[in-house]
Amino acid sequence: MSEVIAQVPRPSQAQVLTYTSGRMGISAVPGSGKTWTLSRLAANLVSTYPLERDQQVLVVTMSNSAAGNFQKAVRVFLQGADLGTGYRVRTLHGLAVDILSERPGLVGLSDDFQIVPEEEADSILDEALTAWLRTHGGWAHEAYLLPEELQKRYTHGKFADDAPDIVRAFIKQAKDERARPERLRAAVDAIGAGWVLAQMCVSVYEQYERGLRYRGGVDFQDLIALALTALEADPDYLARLRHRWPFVLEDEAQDSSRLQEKMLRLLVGEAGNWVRVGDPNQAIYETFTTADPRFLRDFLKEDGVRALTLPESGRSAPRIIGLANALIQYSEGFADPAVRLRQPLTPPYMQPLAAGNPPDEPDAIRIQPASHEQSSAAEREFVAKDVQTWLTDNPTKTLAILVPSNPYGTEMAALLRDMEIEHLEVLRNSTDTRKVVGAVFRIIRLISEPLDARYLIEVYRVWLRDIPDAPFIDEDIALLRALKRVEDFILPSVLGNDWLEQTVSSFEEPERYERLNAFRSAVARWMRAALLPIDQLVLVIAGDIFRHPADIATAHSLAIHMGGVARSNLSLRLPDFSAELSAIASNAQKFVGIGAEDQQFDPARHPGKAIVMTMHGAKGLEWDRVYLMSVNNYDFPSADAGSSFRSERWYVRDSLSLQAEALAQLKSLLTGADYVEGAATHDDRVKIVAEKLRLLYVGITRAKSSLVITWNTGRESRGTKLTAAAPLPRLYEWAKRMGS
Amino acid sequence: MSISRLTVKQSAIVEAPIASKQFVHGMAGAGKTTAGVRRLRHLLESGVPGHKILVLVPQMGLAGPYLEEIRSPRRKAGASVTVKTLAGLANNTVDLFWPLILKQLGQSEDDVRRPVFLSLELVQYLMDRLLGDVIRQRDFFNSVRIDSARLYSQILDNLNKSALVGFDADTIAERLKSAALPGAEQRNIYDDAQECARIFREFCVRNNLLDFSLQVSLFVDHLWTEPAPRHYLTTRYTHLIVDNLEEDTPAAHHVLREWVPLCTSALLLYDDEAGYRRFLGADPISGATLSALCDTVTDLADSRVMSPHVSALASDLSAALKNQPVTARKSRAKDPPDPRRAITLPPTDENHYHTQMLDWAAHQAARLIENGEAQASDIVMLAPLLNDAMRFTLENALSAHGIATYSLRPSRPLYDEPATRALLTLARLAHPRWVTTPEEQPREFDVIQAVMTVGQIDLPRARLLVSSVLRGGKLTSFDHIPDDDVRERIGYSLNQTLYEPLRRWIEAYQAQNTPDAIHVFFRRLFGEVLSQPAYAFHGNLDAGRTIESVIKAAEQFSRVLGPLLTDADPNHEFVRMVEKGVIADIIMPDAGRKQPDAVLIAPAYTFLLSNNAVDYQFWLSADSPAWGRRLYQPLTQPYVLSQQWTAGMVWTDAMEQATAQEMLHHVITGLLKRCRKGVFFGYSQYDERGYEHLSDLRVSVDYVLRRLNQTTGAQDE
Repeated sequence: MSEVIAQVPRPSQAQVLTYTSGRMGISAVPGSGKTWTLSRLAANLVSTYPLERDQQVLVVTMSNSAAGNFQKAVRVFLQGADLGTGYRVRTLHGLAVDILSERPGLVGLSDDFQIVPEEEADSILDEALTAWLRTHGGWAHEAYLLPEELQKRYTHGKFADDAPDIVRAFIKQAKDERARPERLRAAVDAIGAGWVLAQMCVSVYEQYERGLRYRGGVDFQDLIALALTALEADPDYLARLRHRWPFVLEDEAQDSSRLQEKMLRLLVGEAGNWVRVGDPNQAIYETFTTADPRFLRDFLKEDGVRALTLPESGRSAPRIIGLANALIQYSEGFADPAVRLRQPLTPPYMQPLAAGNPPDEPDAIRIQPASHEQSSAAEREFVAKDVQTWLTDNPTKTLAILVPSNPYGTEMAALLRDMEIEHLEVLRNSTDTRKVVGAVFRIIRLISEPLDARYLIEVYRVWLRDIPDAPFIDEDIALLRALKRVEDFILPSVLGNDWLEQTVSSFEEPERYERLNAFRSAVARWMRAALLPIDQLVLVIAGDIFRHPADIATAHSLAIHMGGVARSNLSLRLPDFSAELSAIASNAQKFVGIGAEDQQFDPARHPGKAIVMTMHGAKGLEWDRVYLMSVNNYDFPSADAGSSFRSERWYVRDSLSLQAEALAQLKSLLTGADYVEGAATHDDRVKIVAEKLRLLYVGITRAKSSLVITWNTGRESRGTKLTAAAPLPRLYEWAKRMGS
Repeated sequence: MSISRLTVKQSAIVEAPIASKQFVHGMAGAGKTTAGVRRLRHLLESGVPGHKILVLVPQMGLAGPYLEEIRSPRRKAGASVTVKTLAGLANNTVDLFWPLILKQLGQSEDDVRRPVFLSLELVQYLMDRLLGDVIRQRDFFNSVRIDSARLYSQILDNLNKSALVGFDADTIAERLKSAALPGAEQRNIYDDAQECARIFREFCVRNNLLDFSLQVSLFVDHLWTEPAPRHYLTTRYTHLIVDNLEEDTPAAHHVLREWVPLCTSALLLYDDEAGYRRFLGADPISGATLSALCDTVTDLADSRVMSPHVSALASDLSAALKNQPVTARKSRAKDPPDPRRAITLPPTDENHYHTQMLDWAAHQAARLIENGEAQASDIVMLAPLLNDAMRFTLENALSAHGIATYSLRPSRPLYDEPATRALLTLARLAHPRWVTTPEEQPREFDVIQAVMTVGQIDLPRARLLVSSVLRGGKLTSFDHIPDDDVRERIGYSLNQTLYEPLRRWIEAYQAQNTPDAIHVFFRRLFGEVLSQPAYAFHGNLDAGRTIESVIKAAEQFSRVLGPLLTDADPNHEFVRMVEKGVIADIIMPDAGRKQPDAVLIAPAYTFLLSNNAVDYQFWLSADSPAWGRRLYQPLTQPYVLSQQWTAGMVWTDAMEQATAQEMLHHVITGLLKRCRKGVFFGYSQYDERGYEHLSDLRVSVDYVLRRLNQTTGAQDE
């Protein structure tokens, strides 16, 4: 840690650190040390600005993991000179919760308002949508299905599978526009029978909001809009918060949505102090959230904003930096003017430091040529073998396999498992959440079936999960397996004979005895807690077995989820809850905990292992070697005729993106602008192409020393073969020229 | 309650001439209630007949010391003193003078129907039946997010406020809207709430159903204004003792304002800086104005509770919470008052997690008891909000040290209590006729839980027993269990003392020709079986209170709705209602009964309202924002619906802030005034949710300690 404090700022960082007040915007390239710079700036402000007792420097981030990193970093810089009350680090949504929690009455919330967990919100939406499709499905099919698909039940099923995403996007956007269902209902009724998508979405939106209301809750999307409403509703409250946070430092500003920016802008005020750091080239959430890098770009051009850049990157070898810059150049000269106009990637170019970057290795970059076709199975196999070799040669180095989507990552991880290659699957709703839910599930199952020694053994493994190598564990398990009556072990005092004392001598093996004794006390306690409502039972268990804040938070949201399940079906009992938890733990039932991307994942803690992750999830992280997979014209489409887009479903007429069309209808409802069918689909393509270029850029810049890019022609079963993503030949040529 | 020797001021109050009217105020712990109780004894000993004395308290939980005095063995038998709340008085008087009310309301005095007094549970049931569909069909409350139970309780709260504060129930929405910020989105929901209140009120009036608000407004507006009832009350009670006047409502103050001049003697006791029931309509400012009616006003200023160190902590913390400077005291005394000696903080390595904080608290409490520094009954564990998990974890952590606990909980769903669920399960087992669908069959896990609850049996044995004897929703004989090993594991004695008597009782009950009314069933089950020594409810105060609530609610339900529910079995309907989560009335521990030798676990406000002092207080979850925050209720607003609110004003953030600060100040100083020796300040870096919070309370405590360390350091140098 002392190294972090002692580190001398680079010239561009030093310039940022001269900040004392006003508005400042910083474009920071990957690896430019923006966390270091921003947290140091926060620490400087805390120690130099005469903060009053109730004032704090506010640092706003996009993710919990970033918030955790900032929290730690600022603390280190302050070196204990502050008791931790001079600054506050919050995610944007956490900040919204803070604002609402203090004055919930301003927006019609009660003080124990619940944020309805994502999976519960989804099920409200699904229920409403199913009901709508039951009565109006035929109407929707006629409007959008290809004629030959109209009578096919299979296709109707596909439409029903895809419809939730359309409605979800519509509701998200409507909430971002702060358009309530009543307003949209009036607008859509005025149009009459046309605009089937809008009819569907508005009807579901109405029912969805009713469902949230019935639960006394808000969804994640509501938080920002409601916080903004609260700030607008009461100028005094706003003034008080402005006083409380005289400085607002914002990280990842390229991922802010219009509404989020508006909330911060209001919080900062005309004359406030606001520092925004971001990289428009890393804006990769535009197509599935309402984020837009345009807001940051516009901010950098505003009058009175001091615009700076952090162009030096110490992360990657110079050749990898060169490749990333080559992609920026490719983007600037993009053939399609619509895409070019959207500015997928823009300067500043990345610059290596004068000294300190990893050296160029002879084989630093390997790119699969566009002429070399292979199926997705072959691609996975190639990567797996290559990873195996590399890890054998570099057991102390870090490696990541980055994939465009979770399902592909799951398939890749399965192959690594089969080939016994050490790996870690860091996909959404995977390891950590599943581990937390799994641990709780095993304990609840034991409470449901308290006489089954097999379940007791599984709970013992949960109990010892942090010390799997402790001595005599196998012996303990063998002992428990031989246990004829579970109660002899758990409740010795009740039955008068202490099986444990008779089996493991507290005198001869005190540590082992103590371990088992502590375990049985915990089990006895959980069994007594069987009388509590399920949410409270989960909290009791969580309090006993989790120590990591993210695990506690996941367990808490699991408790809320289970409470909701219990309230919505009064006939459920513990064995039913156990089944629900089992379904969640095995991923059969959706539950999104505080997922991997929200936790402080540190690649450096996993050397010698292959980390499987999505490219989205990898943002902000770095590895010695990085594999970018599936870089084809499906996952990274281009604007040419050959590209296909996930959003344009095969059964929909005229290659329409129904999601884009629904959003266009929403826009027309709100603004009165003309709606021309197909125009939105075209615009959406441009947006997707631009964002995928940025995603590729993010992927490339994760690599420190070496990078492998592969692509595949898709599944064998797929009718048409996919090709390499459009920029790949250009990058291949560049790398070849550089000798890779 | 032990009554120690009186101070000179207290003696003067007690021994004042019989025909005197006194107003006594002072801080909590100054000995006001002691003086009140001794004055009561003095009146009785001076020959004032007990039936002429009325002791008025804002809630019955505060009547304990008076009831203890009245029930004291040294009291001679005879007509007893009346101890009541205003609502209790209203209830009796409305019942007595019902024909007069009918006449006033323009209805026929010959109406044979008596009024029906509704409990909180019944009101919720009725509201759900009356309003559920209206709210859905008319899309009411579409901009608020609260569940229906809370929605109903807030509609009801508004009606109660109108009665207690004394404004027309039809003006609720108008008042709330005029105080809302212009353009505030939720203004329209006040109209919805008004309409719901109107529908409910009309139904009640039409059917002679009287909820709390209607009882109070009928009493205040229709009876108290009439010569006959007023004469009846003022001649019946000529001696008034009113305690905790500051916690009572403008309605009570209004009645007293006209009654005190008419009575022979009055003693009004008023706690400065309290008013914890403000959200229930308490109005300390209106209470204080009654001093003008009295012959004497006495200030009992000094605490008889706080040690000098606690007193110093109270004064410094009070200053810090008011943003005033804190400095070290200059004293030449050998052992000068030092706030730092009245507060104990957890070591930094024991306060990362919520459960660590709870373990630390249990450990510290055990240490105090082991070292003989306090008895269990002189320790309380307080948190601003107390959920089941926290209570359970604390109970277990304390129990691991061999320390017994009991708890006070604010009003909450009856069904959340294991004792209630056990009763309902046993009711289902005893009434197989209720089963019309397989889902209504008693569930195995319910029976397991019921057996655990009533028998205090561990889960494995309860599971073994129930899976062996429950057949087709019926409890069969233990002797029919074929496996000797299973019988042995369950235990023969358990069968004889516990299971078999219960099974036989249910069997005998089923053999009756007609089932009992549900409250009779519960009463018999409890009295004949579950309260017997072999069962867990024997001597269990918490469970006893819960069962009392259930029986009371059931009795009301049978009596009031039984005749109306022609299409359903009211017994079964009651069980269903409780299962749906209706919230119960608060049942405070029997005020006259001595507290058990156990550590009390309670929400801070509930403890404050019980008005007891202890040696040590544990303030847990000290970082929770709930310490100094009013309950936000979107459909109501206690400050706007108070007598002190000036029409036309807008409720601003500054007011919100000022009240929050005032509340935190009141709570903290109120707690300290009820603390003799010290506070244990429990906080953790991460709360139960894994969040990091920082409360004003911690900032203030931190500030006090830092300032004291700085100033002491400077003095040392």
